[in-house]
Amino acid sequence: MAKITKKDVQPVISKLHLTLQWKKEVRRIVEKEMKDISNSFIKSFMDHPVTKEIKEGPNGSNISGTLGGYSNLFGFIGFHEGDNPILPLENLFKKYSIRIYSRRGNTTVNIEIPTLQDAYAISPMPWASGRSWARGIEVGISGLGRYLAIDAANSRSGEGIQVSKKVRGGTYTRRGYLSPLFKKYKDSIQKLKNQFK
Amino acid sequence: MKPTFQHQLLSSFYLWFDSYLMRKGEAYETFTTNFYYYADERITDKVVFGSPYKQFVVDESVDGAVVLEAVSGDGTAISKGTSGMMVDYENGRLLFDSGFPTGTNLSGRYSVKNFNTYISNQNEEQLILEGKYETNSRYTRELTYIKPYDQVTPAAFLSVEGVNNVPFALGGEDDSVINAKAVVFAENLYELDGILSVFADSNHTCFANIPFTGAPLNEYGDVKSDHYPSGYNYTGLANNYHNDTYMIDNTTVSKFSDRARRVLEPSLYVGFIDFEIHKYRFPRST
Repeated sequence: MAKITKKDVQPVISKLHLTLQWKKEVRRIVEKEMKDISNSFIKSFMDHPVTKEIKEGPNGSNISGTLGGYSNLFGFIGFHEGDNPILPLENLFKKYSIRIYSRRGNTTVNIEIPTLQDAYAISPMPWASGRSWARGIEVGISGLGRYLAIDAANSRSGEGIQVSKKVRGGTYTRRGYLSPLFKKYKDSIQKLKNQFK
Repeated sequence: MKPTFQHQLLSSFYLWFDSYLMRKGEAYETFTTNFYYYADERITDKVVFGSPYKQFVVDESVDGAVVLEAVSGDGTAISKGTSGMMVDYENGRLLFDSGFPTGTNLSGRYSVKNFNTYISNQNEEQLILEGKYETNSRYTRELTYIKPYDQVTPAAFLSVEGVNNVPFALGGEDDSVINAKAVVFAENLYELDGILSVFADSNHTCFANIPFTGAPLNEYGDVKSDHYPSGYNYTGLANNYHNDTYMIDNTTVSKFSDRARRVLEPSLYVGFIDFEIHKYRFPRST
């Protein structure tokens, strides 16, 4: 019986990779799997305690534990009442693009997703637009926001106070937020890409 | 306790920040003023003459800046060492041995930093909301001495927020990721934009890991003559440690919004400079 070697099938594989049908099928698989990966990433973002707490607005409780159970991140950061700081991130995270290249028997899948820097750029602190609150969650966040509401009645978050006495020491505790979520997201995408190497 | 990594880091960061701002931003002004006698209860064995400004430029690597080494006393030149003269660069004043005539007319030419630089352990809330700073304006100064010791604005307050050692290579090498920041108080928007611009461009800059003993000033605020017999020169000092550096991987600058500024003294403009600094090191080695 004749033995078929890799060398024998290589020309066929090379030609197969060049066919439109192959590319279409790869795209179909990648799009389907990428949609699942993206949905899973967005779900993990929306289910994160920090996201949930901020989404709850000025009346939420400190479920993230970042403030020792007191107050809430929405007021601590100093958002305006009615703000939805999560929405721009959610919209950003839904974006991705897929490109497929086939050359000489190799198929390369290129998936572009937003970066952490993109996320930081669209999550400005309400009182210092060059700073990102999303990054601040991980590296430490100033409690200035809660003190900067001019008076309780006109408070941006509905619960601020004007400072007249000594300011209490900061009690914010850092925790992982977007970085670990992004790492997991990227790892999943890499696994998907590796399937076509 | 011996000086540890964080001691050395903060000290090195301070020296770099101070010098970089003056070299890249030419952030200094040169004045010729009188010095005014006053009594300082903390230094009773010295005769003190203060200038209207504090934090004189001491770094000779700053092009064009005048580092005060001598003054004129009743028309005669008085150099460092004469009558025990020392220059307190930190507090902007001259110290003489007791017995020096307090009625001497002293004047001198010197450069002053546009921004005083301080190491701070206070958080932003305390710095911005509690801080009551005397303004040491570079533009409209009453011609009398400025009180020593208190922190004055315009100023930059430096602090290290935290260090995170991330495994980097086999053999115990870590990437120490340091989050440092400067809270800046400026007199006007031009000044604030200037300092923010200088440090926004410091991204991907390296600075030397200078030993703790490299701090240029002694307890009187004068240059340590035994360490720096020919004067303190930051770039010269840093070149001695060019194989041991920190790298600034990310810098973000931002301004305190006008709306938020309402809670401040209206004359102050506040900005923030956040640095992410990396250093590859072996934290567990002896």
